[in-house]
Amino acid sequence: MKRYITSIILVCMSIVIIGTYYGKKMVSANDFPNYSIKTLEGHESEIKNVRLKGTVEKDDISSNVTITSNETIYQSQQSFMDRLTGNNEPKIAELKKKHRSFMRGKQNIYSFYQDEDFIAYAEAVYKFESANKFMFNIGLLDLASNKEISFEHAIPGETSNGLHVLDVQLIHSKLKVVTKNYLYINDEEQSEVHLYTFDLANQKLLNDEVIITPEQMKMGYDVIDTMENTPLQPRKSIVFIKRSDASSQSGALVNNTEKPVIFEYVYEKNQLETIQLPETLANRVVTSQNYLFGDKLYIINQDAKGMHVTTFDIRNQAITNDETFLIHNSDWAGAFPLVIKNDRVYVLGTSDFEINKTANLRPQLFIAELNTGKILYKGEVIPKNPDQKYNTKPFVLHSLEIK
Amino acid sequence: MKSYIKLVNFEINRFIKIYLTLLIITLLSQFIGVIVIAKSKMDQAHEVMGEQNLSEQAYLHDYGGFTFAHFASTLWFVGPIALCIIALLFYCLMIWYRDWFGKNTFAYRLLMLPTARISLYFSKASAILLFIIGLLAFQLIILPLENTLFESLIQDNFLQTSMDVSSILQSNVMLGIILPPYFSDFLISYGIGMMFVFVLFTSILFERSFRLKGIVFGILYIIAAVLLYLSPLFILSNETYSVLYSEEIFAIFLVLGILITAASIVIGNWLISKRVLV
Repeated sequence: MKRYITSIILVCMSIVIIGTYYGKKMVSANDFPNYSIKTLEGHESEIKNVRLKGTVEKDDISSNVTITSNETIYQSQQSFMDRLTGNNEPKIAELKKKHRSFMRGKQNIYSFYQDEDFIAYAEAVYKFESANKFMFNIGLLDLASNKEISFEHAIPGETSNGLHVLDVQLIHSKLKVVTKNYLYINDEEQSEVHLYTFDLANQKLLNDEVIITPEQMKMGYDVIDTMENTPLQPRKSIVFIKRSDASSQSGALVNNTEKPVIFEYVYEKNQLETIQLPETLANRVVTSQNYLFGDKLYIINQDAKGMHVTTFDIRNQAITNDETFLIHNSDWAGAFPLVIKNDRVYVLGTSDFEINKTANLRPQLFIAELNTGKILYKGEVIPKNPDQKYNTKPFVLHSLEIK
Repeated sequence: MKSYIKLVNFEINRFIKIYLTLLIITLLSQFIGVIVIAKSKMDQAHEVMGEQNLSEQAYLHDYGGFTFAHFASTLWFVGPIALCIIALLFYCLMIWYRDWFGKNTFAYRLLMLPTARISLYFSKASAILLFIIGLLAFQLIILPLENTLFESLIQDNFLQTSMDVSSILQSNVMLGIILPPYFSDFLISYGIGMMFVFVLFTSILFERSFRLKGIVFGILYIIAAVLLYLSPLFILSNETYSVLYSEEIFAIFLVLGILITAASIVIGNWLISKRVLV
């Protein structure tokens, strides 16, 4: 036994020390604090589906955190398998579970289209071997028969500067793919918006059309984002906004008195239609956050009085709702993360961490009724253990998701 | 089994002097380093404050304070770790060759032991593994002590943040690799490491079995093993998007790793029991 003493010490010490180190790490999850959402007003059931995302910093190392009404989940607590498969969008993860074979190599949420019968996919992928550099990778899954079509198609024209997919739609069994293509014209970086129409049955490109020209892009055309979780849903059109002031970033000379205009490209009609904004909205649109949800365009501005949300129906070209929500704090950053869902407006009030590192305002969560402006819920994110050490740890929330 | 344990113990004991020397070098270098670096950082700070006529607060505002990470990136700290890695890599070769090149070919006696010769092979691999994790454990033990010493040498206000061991390990790329933040990553790193040790051992046995011709076999074996293990990367790098899910890529690497390790052990067993020359 005595002869083995060095070996025994070496083995035991190593296992105990390394075991303790990793064991402790697993249990304590780096000593990061737990948070909870304290209800200040309203009913707790409102926050059942709310997930707040942010980062907590400790010793210059930040860790991603997700806070729900009853849990604080850190990335470092995730299982090995979860870390391996990455933090996919929940929708992509759900599709992967259901259609594992079809979902291979498909990641970009904007490249998907889903209705009751089909899932379609179109993505521009870089090819080392092809001269044209970018190819379309196209897929269609028939949900009833579980049959798949998949093919690659060359992209006509110059694509070496890249392009990305803005929207994919299936209209009368033709696949419509809207992309923003980047170009170099006269040594200047420019872009244009294309619409490609594919005949899926014959795997052919039927049409390639420029719907917004580089000249128009320079004038400040921009795509209006749809509210999260909807890129897959069928939609009739894609909507663009022209903001006259946006041109100032490219330095181009544009008449600044031009009014902002909304353009709708209706897929079935193959044309860009102009939608005039009412006078009251035209000025606000320049600085607002805009989101599209179906036919509804939400125009959101924040100022000292609070947050204004105007609902503009692009089909009837009329304002259907206009509310001011009394959500304001001068120490908070300008644009709050916001989600409109189930006729409710969810707002996360946070201080801008980058600008004001010392301010440790507690992030607040507001839920209001879209149509009445009534605040249904108000809550504050607080550390669970009222420990001084935890309270001073830099903590910032940057987005919210509603399941 | 008993002979295997005896052999492991034997391998550990015959390296223990060099091993302890490595530990002492690490200990001395890192502790002296802490004192030297902490002192020089404080001297520097005072010098700058004197030159530019800055108050303590103004200095901290302009230049910021110190953390243990400042020390962990110096040669005092990283040097001995690198030395230990190089020493163990070199010993992976010497653990075999010292048996042959020593007085009256010790290998002869070892190979004549009334036990399966593969035990010899496993005992050497186990000894290497134990040396590695011993070094890691030693570093984990002295790290908090060095940290305490560092913090006590830096004036309170100049200490930017007090770091704990896991933060220190993540602050430095090299430390992040040798002691990864997750246990699963630890197993993966050292699993790959041990696979390489087995491949190396088998190629050494090629050389010991066929001498000059064996050198060629050995080198070819290493190249083949490395290429086979990395082959998924070559195939995947041709595509900008992966048709395989990340869990499937992991599974491929796992299977390849197990295959290469198993092949090395089987070939090593055949060489050491049938072909090896003394």
